[in-house]
Amino acid sequence: MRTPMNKFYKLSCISVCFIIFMIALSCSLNITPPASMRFSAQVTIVDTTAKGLDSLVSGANVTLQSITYGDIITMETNSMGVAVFNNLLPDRYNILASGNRVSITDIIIINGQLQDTSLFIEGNDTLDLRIIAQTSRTSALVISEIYYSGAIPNPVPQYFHDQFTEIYNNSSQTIYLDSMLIADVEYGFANDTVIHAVHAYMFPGDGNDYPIEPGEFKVIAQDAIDHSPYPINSINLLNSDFEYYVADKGDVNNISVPDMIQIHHKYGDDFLYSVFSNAILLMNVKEPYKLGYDEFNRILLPKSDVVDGVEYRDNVTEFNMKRIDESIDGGLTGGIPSYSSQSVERYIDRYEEERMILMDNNNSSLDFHVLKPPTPGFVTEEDAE
Amino acid sequence: MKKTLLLFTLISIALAQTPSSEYLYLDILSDLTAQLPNRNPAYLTTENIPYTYAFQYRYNNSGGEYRLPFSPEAKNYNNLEVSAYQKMNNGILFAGRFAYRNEQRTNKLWLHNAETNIDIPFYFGDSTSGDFNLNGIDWNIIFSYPLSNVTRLAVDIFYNVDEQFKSVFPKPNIKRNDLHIRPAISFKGERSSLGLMGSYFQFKEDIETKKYSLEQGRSPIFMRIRGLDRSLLTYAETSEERLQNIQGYGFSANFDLGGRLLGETNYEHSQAQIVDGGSYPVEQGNWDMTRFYYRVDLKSKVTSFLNTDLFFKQYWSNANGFHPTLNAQIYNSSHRHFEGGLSLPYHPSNNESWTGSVSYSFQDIKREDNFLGLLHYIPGNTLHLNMTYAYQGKGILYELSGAYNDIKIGESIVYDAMSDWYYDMITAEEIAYYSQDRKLIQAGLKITFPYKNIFIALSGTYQDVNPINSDESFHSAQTQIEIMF
Repeated sequence: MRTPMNKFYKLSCISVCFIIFMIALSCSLNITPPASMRFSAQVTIVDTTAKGLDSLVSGANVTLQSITYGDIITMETNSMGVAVFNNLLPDRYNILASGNRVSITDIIIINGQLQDTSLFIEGNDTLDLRIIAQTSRTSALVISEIYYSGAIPNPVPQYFHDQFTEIYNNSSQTIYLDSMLIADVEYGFANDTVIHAVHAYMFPGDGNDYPIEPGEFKVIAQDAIDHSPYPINSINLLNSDFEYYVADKGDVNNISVPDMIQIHHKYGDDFLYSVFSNAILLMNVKEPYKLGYDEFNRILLPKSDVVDGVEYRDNVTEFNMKRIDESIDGGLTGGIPSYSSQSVERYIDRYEEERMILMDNNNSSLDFHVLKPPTPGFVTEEDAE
Repeated sequence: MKKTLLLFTLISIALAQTPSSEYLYLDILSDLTAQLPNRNPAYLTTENIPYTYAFQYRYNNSGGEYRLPFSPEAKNYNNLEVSAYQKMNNGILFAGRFAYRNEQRTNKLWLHNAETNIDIPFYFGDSTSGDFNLNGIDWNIIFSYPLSNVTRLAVDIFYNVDEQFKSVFPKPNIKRNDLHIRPAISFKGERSSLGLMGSYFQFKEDIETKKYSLEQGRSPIFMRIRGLDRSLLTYAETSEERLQNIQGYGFSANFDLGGRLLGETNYEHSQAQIVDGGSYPVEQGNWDMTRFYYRVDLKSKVTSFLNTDLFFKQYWSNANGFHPTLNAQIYNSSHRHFEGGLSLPYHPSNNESWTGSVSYSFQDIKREDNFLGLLHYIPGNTLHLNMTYAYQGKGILYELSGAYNDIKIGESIVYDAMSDWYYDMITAEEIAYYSQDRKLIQAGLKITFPYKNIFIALSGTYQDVNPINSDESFHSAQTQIEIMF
């Protein structure tokens, strides 16, 4: 039976439902531009070895390398030695600075870095950073290419005997390689005054036997043979200029290629470059045995005798794991998987009278690029430029 | 993320209930309590059990071009299930369901997580795509105990364990271990009832890839997705691993006042912890999600044949993501759905019924990346038309259903000036997907007939989503056979 109360109840409920529904419908969101945690930073490069305005390094490249996101942003410093970065994401960064100061007699390379630094500032403020740079000098001889990663398994897995190092004469003078050293570097001694080397091999010759002409390459192979049949698509190192030969380990020896002289060989069947990380040095050491050995039988070599050095690593953000300091190499190259048939090669900086000048900021993060396939004894100009 | 589409579909079509936690997070349809008011197991009595025991086989298939970027090209599910109801001597009613599932997902792109949902801002994947297979078992048990003629206590326990794997290198293997407990109470008078239910769940997911193999000759690029853009990329030298642990709790209530005023509401809050292992562990953030739903029905009798049901309901979800080290919120996602309408149940005779309903809804999606400074807001409204028809003759029950949804998208707002490659490739496609006007059509048929001493039910439903002015579509279909004893 319908009653007035019943009808009133229904009408009330319907009205309430309708009102609630209309209120809900009218609750549109207020959409405003999104908030962001991006911020700005300015990085000042200071060269403490210079005085006055010279201490402010203008025209230097400052690179911010985001460790988590992999972003790499490079800006140039202005006349006050300041590089300005906008819209940065909060993260841990490696900050690399590289420039040069031209004096009457010389070009002085300026390198500095801050490793694994957390950058973030709230609000609209700008983060101020200061890098005290170190100085070094350009080298006449440079390591122009290192092939360390090993060959793609096809079908032979873990093949690394096709590794090589390539050296280039960046100067206008003929230089003799006789008695110079190639050495690798143990981790943990980046700030030591001496190099702790696991392997050290010397170029043969009595002083004038092995010239390297301006603009000429020399290739030092682990094994100077044609590696391309095994694994397929590896490289041919028959035309190498030198090879590492470890006589007592059953190493392959190409008798037509001069052997590097073993100065120190702590372990291994050959002078194997790690397929993950290492630093390779070219040195001019007059008395390699003078400093002796450390407690783990690594030969000690004077850091001041380093001509050029390049450090590579599979993860190029791990600056906290570096083996050599900014005076030799302020950066890290690589970032490639092992056994990928890829090498790292120096960029071409410029040409002087048709002679190629390779980039040498003493910062392999800036100076090198990844290359596939490797190019022993030459540069593919399209890639390197 | 196709599940999100299904979620909207469910919101649009299923007039009674909100997606369960199992469906939202695990893509599992656990329907032992689906017919009970607000899925409250304390409403289960000897009077409303559908059978003593039953065997069921269900096949689901879905696919199409109109889908979200992380959705597989096609999904095929096989579900074999046995369920039973048993009244014990001490008055306890026991119900149980045990199911085996086999799922194939074709060409699932990138993501390793078993399920994806745009509310969740953290995912893990690699640069390969491939087919995923899943094998799993899940079960429910319900204990329902009458305290008095009015009051019943019950507990519903759900458990799932499954393993999903991809055959393509790096062969991710995803193991899940999930538990959901719902204690409940109901008070049932002659004409009115009240139900209350709590909920606690823990859904664990362990993703592990195979170790880098030299014979493979390649190393995949692993992606750790965080927010709307700028995923974290790493090269894998060895295996990668991620553990995700979602814990949540909830509360539900429903009432029925004399069959004239009915209401139900659900609240759920969940939190996830994500920890990465492997060769390049990156600290991950956490996220939380809150879902809220209510529905009110006002029913009245117009004639002895015709009833009316005026209803409105609201669904709302809000998710937040947090940076692992900066103690800051970096992501927010919210969905809202308001709907109101009228349903007209018509019973021309004792063995025949029609129900038609029309409703109108407003819904919107807002996602904001507070880390990168990105936002999109997509509003829309939908006209819902539903019709069901049931007829019983010569012992055979025929049930027909049909639905039509016309979804119109309003003016979207997008702030994407600071976007990068990931946004352009993935998020922009998601926005395009949600920004399309579209129509949804669904049809279903179920026939239940006796055979000797058993009942057999055959059913099938088909649903098609078509964007306007596009040749693309997305379909989902389900066929089922059930043998009831």
